[in-house]
Amino acid sequence: MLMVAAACGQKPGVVDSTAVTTASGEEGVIDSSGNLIDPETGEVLATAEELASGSETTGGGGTTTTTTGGGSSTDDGGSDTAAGPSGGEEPAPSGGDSTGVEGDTIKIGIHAPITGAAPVPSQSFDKGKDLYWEYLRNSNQSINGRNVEVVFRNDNYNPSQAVAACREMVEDEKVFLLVGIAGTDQIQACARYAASVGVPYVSAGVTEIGLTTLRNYFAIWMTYPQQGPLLADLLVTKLGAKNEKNGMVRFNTPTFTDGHDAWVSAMEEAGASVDYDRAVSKTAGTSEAQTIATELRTQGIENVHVLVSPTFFIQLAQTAANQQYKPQYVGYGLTKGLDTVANVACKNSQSIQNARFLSPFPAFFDSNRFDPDFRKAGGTDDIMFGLWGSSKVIATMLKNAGKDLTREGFIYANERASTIKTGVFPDVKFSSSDHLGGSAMHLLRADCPNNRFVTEQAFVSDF
Amino acid sequence: MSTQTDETQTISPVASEPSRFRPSTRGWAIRLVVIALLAVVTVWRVATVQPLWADHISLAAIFAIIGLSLNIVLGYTGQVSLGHHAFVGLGAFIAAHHITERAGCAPEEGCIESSLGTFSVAILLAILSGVISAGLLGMVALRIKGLYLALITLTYGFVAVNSIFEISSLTRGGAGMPAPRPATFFSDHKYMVLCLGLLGVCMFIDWRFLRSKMGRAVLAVKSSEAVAASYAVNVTAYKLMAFMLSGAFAGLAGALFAFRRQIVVAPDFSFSTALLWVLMVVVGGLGSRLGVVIGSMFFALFPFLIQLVGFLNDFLANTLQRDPEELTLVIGPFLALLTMIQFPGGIAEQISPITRWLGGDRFTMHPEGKHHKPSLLQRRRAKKQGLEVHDDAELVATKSEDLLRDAAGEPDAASTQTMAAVDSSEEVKS
Amino acid sequence: MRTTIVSAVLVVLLGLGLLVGAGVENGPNPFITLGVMNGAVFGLVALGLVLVYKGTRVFNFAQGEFGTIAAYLLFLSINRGWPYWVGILVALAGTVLIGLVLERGVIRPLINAPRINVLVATIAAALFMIGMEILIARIEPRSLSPIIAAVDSSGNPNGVTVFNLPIEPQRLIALGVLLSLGGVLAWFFSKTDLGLAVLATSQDAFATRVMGIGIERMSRFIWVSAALLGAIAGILYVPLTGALTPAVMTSNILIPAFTGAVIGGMTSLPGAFVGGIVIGVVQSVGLWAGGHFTIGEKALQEVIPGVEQVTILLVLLAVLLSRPQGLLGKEA
Repeated sequence: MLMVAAACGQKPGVVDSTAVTTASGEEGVIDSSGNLIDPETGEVLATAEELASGSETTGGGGTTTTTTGGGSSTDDGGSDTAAGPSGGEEPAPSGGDSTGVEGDTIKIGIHAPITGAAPVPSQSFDKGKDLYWEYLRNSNQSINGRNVEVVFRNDNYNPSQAVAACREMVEDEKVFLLVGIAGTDQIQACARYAASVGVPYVSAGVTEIGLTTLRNYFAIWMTYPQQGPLLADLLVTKLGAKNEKNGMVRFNTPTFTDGHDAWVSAMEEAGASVDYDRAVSKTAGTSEAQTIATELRTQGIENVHVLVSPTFFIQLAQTAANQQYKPQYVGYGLTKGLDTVANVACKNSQSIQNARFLSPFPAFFDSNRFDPDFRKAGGTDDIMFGLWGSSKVIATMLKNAGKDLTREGFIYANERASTIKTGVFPDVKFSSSDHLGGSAMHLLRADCPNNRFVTEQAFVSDF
Repeated sequence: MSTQTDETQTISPVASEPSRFRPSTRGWAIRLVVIALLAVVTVWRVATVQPLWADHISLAAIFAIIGLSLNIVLGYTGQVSLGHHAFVGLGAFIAAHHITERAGCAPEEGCIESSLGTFSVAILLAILSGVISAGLLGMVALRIKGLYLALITLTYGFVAVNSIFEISSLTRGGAGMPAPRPATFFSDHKYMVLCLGLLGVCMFIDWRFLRSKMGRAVLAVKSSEAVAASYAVNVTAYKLMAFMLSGAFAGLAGALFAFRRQIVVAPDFSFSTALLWVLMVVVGGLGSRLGVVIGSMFFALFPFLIQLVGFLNDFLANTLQRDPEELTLVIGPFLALLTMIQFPGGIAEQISPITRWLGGDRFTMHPEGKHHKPSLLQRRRAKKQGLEVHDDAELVATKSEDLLRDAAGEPDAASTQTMAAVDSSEEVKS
Repeated sequence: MRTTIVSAVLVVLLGLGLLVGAGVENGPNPFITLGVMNGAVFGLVALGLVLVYKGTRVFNFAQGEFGTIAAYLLFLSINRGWPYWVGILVALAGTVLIGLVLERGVIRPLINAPRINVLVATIAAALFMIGMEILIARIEPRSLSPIIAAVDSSGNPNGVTVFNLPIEPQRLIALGVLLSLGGVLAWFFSKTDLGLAVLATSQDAFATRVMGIGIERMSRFIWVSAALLGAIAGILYVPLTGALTPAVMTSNILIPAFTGAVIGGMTSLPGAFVGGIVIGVVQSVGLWAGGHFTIGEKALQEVIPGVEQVTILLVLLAVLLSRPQGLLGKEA
């Protein structure tokens, strides 16, 4: 819940037009379901749907809320989208918290595991987190006259350390917003912390549990529950899962349950069976991997959905291959480096040949097809490509918020902004009732002879 | 430290040197001024610290309590617990579970602050969980002679990680169990004061424990189990008592750990953490209260301290491209090895000139007082000069008393204190 | 006494076999075999632990990391394009060197210290090695190829299938190495002067020295052999796990191996073998049972997570309480 003061002040800067106040100019409150309500009477001034639907709704005395994507060459979101809210539109916040915006830099904080049970390779991460912003600087582009400085903290693949890392970035480094691109539990913990201090949080698509009601939270690709039906569709339509045995192996953490449930029910709806369903401890090692591989093999599971750490997936696939068992692996989008997985798991036994994963960004192998600037800027692997793509989304989101950058303004503007197109990530579109911005994914396939993943299908929302 | 020395003197008249050094009034005044200055500077620095550092200091205090807890097992009873992460973790989850699930203060229901009452109950429950689990484990493990406690606690640690911490109603799996603080201790400063205060309480209890008949008996048992048993000391019972006290401290530390980040997850308590805790006690100085507290605090703060040294941090981050935490993994064990090989008394031994002086002794740079085992360097130097250093004989004689002497802080008194302890334990029995 | 225990173990294993054999769809249940195979590797590491314990009365926590370091050295050598056997030689030599350094730098100075100090020192040494691995190699997983690939170039399996479990050639090699090393060590300790001297050192260092046996020499010999055993275990086991990561041997092997060695009796070489296999079977069957059996609506593992670990603790406690010297260990 967020109190929004009635705003009369025109926001100066590059935002083409300002947003409206409510018709009557009263204070409005957005409640947890996204409706604009009168704080005095509790009367609904505008429902979430009305707020979200924008121009489709007729009537109303509001002017348009429009932002441009800014001057980025890769951004085609420049066309103005008219949004004429009915009844009372939530007023644009005036003033607000502009911590982290100083002179011509915007400081953003990113947390990721570079140590711990499922780390991101740190060299790639170090380089990748700055790659896009350096490219902007070198090509004389900016975000409304500013550029971005990235602060990084290691969360050690541990939610409580993630909270500490995020706190440090907020309190010590005074970042404007926080970004989490890898590690579900860490993202959930940190996003909740960010909500408690009013810091916007830009997130990978992971679980939805406890996150959908947070107003500061923006998921920039499809969440696991959203990917579940898509993955089931892939299995049934393309991989013939209907007449085969299917199974799922996941880490035993509550944040994976919605991703698990969504997939299982989508499979059942599509008429495919789920014959094996196993949760393993996050601390599982080779013994667990061997046991599960043996179980999968003896039960004759042909399609295996994995929602585990990359290392455990490698152990599982390798020990399975040692038993001459190579099922079809599928899974949700991983950001911790599919190519690294291929590099290890393809060696010796080609254990993950043709494994298919959904991904928010295309494979590194064919990155030039999607954004030639990436390799020109010095990108050398898929982790950097993912960071590049998410940086592009964040850049557009920051542009949307205008020159007069505040945390409140950022949230407000992005709820009303037009679709974010980056050429790398599928389209991202938020509304005031829906902060889960993704609607499509890429499909990547393991090309084992070459130790890499390739893009099999780009920008897919169904198969 | 000082009181300890004094009492040792009173217990054992035999040990008192013929002409014991007594500082003059001026000497005492100087010592008091130094102590007061130290206290004031520490309090002032700590009171005006930034919230983030207050949080770090809370962690240091928690580590110090864990250090004290382990010191009881390692330093006093001469056993090794390699499963302390299980005791601490269980305490943390019990406390968090009580607040969130039983008292119903869950963040998803909008509860950000717990009440002081439930908070206190949570801490008490955590302590109780430590006492009970240590008691149960000790009852079985302490019957077996030798270093098997190490292996049983180790296996128990793995049971905790793989089984207890996987019970999602207790831990909420990988997402972690929230543990909101009460309003009274909500800010990081207030929480730091609480942690430091409880550390003080633990140090006091530890001091009283060691001075009690039970404490002396435990030391006697460690010094020589056979001798103690022949004086009718119930060896197992005393070891068990010590182990349960250790469990109580561990449970308390766990609760404080949970409330520090207000969320607690299983990966916080891993096998390697337990090993690192053992090392920090060794570096601090086995059996020495002050040394263990300093050593533990150093291990807790090391990653943050490294970040303060700008060039070192830059070198790590840019040239080596490594996280300071990764360096801790190397530095900690290295310090422990160095301590064990070159400075067996740990930090306690190194600061002993100062502590002894403050306690009213003459100032000598000799770390260990009169009894000084020649270090490798000294032996090498001696060898160069053509001297043979025979420390074996001495070592055989003092081996069992080595750690005890550190505990007592007074080398000469060690053997007599053991005797005194045995005597007093005998009194307990009769 | 010993025969009773051995037969009791056999009865337990048989019971497990019957229990497990009942619940499989496609042929015999492979989990006992899997457990025995894993247990063989635990036994291999346990051999090194027993060797050090027999020689110095110390639990050596660095035993696992000898293996990880050997695996990294092998990985580096193969990556440089050297033949596999050269890689093995480099790995063995490098690990022996580390064993020497450890003995000279850490163990020797503590030769007269309380055993608990030496135990803590081996912990510190293990953590130091893990720290160095993380610092140098980072946590990224790597792939170490086996001596003989599980599947040949035309896709046919190289190994054999026993009770519905395909067994890779690497495992067969590991089993063979374990049996022959166990035999060699048993012969060494019972028939050679050096072996007897090692045993004597551990029982009374002072008297041994008086008898004119150099403790230093014994100590060096023990630790070099331990490093060698650890390295062999690492080279054989890591390719089976699929991923080479820092601390892989400590986190996956050392603890079960320790438990196995204690259950078998810390001083007994056949005990290490038996204990390792007991742990392997309990672990594998427990993991399988956790997912397979249900209590009411829930799977066993949801009611009692980590069934296998709980069982291991219970077995350990039961053995230590009824026979503190372990299944096959001798009194003190």
